Amino acid sequence: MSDQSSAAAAIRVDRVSKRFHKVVALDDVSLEIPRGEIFGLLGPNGAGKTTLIRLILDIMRPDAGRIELFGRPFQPADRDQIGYLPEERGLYPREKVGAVLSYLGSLKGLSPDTARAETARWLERFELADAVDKRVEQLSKGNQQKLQIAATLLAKPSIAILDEPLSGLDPVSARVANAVIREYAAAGHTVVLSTHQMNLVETLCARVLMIARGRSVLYGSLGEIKRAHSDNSVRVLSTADYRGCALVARVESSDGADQPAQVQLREPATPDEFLAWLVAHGARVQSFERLATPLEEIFVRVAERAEVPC
Amino acid sequence: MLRKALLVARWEFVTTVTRRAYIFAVVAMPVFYGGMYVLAGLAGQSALTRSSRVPTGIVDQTHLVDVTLATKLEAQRSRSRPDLLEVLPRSGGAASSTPVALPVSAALIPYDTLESALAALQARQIGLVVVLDADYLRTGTVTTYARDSGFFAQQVHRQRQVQVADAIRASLIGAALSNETLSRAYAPVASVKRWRVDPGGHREAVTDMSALGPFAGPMGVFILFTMAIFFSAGFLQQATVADRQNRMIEILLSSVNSDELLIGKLMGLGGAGLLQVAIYVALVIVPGSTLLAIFEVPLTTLALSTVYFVIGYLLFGCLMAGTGMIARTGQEAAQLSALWTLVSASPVFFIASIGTAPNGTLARALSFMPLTSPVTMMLRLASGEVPITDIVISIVIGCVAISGALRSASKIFRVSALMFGQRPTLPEFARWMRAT
Repeated sequence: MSDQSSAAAAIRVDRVSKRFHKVVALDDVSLEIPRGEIFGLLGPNGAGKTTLIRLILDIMRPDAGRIELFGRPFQPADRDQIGYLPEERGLYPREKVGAVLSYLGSLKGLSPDTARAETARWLERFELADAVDKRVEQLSKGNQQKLQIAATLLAKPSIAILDEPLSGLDPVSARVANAVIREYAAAGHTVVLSTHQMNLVETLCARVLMIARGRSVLYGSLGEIKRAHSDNSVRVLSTADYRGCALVARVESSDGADQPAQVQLREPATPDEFLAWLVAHGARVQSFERLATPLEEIFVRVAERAEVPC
Repeated sequence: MLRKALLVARWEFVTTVTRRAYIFAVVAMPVFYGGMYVLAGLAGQSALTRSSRVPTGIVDQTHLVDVTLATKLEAQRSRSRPDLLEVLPRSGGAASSTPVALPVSAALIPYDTLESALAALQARQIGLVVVLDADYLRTGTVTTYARDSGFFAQQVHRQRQVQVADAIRASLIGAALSNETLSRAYAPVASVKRWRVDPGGHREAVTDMSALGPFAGPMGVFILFTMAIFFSAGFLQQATVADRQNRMIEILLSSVNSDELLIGKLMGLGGAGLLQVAIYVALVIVPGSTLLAIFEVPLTTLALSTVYFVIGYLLFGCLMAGTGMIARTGQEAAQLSALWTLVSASPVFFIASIGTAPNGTLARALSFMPLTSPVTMMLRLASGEVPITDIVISIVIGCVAISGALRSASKIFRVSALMFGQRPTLPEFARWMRAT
């Protein structure tokens, strides 16, 4: 691979639109995902996330716009470089676990020996080594879910697109899967995570795209998005009387005197300025915490706003 | 492209032929039906042999029938028709390898009175009583008495009546003819020598076995290939429905394109269907000598039949796979694909017409319709010489139809990934096909 192509983004979607008869599934959506990043793809049900994934996978073609993988349009060989875990997924229930994984690995271009070796390695990783000769249907739903993640990552594709990868997993298995996804990205692979589990996005993703009604409504780094949607509040426990401060817009008092109060600052005042004011007025500050709006709250607000017709 | 299609083909073949239901269908069913066939054959033959060994009683009130002469002539006829001889078991009960020349027809036993004949009939010593009334010469009327009735008993009774009629004829003219002439009068066509004249005017002696060959061979090929088409396409539909139910389609389409997936399935499941038919052939359907008859199939007929098998399987398989992808369950797929099955198999309903007139209007019309063409052409090839123009046109039509069906089925595979858990209406489906 040339230097130029290795420097190119893993996925670049440029002003892509897709329509199904009268339904606009995607409208002028763009994104760019560099190599080695875990990228969050968010949106309410029916927002167009799956359509976007299918366009990236070349299962469908866009009506307008351009999609590039590794700096060039999709090529048939790229199928070996993209692992996909769809939301509606399953495995051959009556076939043996080892055979199914090896088959799916070989479809991604692995030689039979490598496919078998990788199958053994991934089964070991998910503590399912003794299931290699069992039929898929003999495993629990959670273990089948782990197999599906293994099947997606088995051939070490450069891009892994995981749609709700942790659904159906118990907390212990979810933690293992979470670690697997981190390790995979740390090894230089790109991961696109489509999920409604906002805690997972906050834990794993550096940047996100949120789609609502087919349009891009949030795009950028998670920190910037959270800052942009923060309501400029702090939680503070001190001896000061905040009502006398010109920087303060509103105070929600706590029940007890030794409990922190939630203070909303006037724009464009910053928490740093407020802390400086406290110190300048001789207040004894026991605790001071910037309040960030949870991603889930941002998601709900943005999704509700997108639902309101213009 | 071929590498991934071959991987899919190998997977589909191996997972299908190792499935218990397949193994049961391939091994147990022919063994069961074969066993039933053998049992039914043995039982039928035994019943026929028993009934033919029971003599026929004759009450000759005209004193016309020379039973001794008739028995002698019947023995002569039997010797000139070795195919009519029975193979009787030796005393140990095992079948003898050396046929014992005995007439298949029953002996004639004369009775003086109707009462004594009827008593013998009641005692099961004879199977039928034939009475020649006193005015037989004037009226030609005979009266028969039998215990058994029903379709099969009537058949045996008719054979006995023919034997009695031959005996009467021989007795009537026996005095006036020499022995040889009398033998011919009794059995005018005792045996047949057959020759075949080919289009070049060359003559070739036709034995019973070789007489079977030119017909049985191509017809066997027709039956086998037709069965293989329907078996294989059935597997293909089951597999596509299973992929949809197992939610595998989208996973597979992220690794292979829809053409590779479809071609792989066509190859793998076609192989499974052919294997099933081959095992049926080996186990039951074409045992021993009939199998040899298939080897006598002219090479061109075999080659062309293979071409039509491939065309038929690919076309029908694409339609079945596409239909399987639209349906939600196997039952629904079978219902939806009934149209294809009925149309594709429809030439079999006209087997007599096409077999008798392989180049007639009906045969030619069905040859030029894509769905009916493969089965019709195989049937025509099995029944006679087919003009080269018809062969070329039907192959071209088949190839064009396959191209269209492959493209449509491939698109349906892609569309099916979009519509998990639902079956769209026809307009919805058409919209999705356009959008994909």
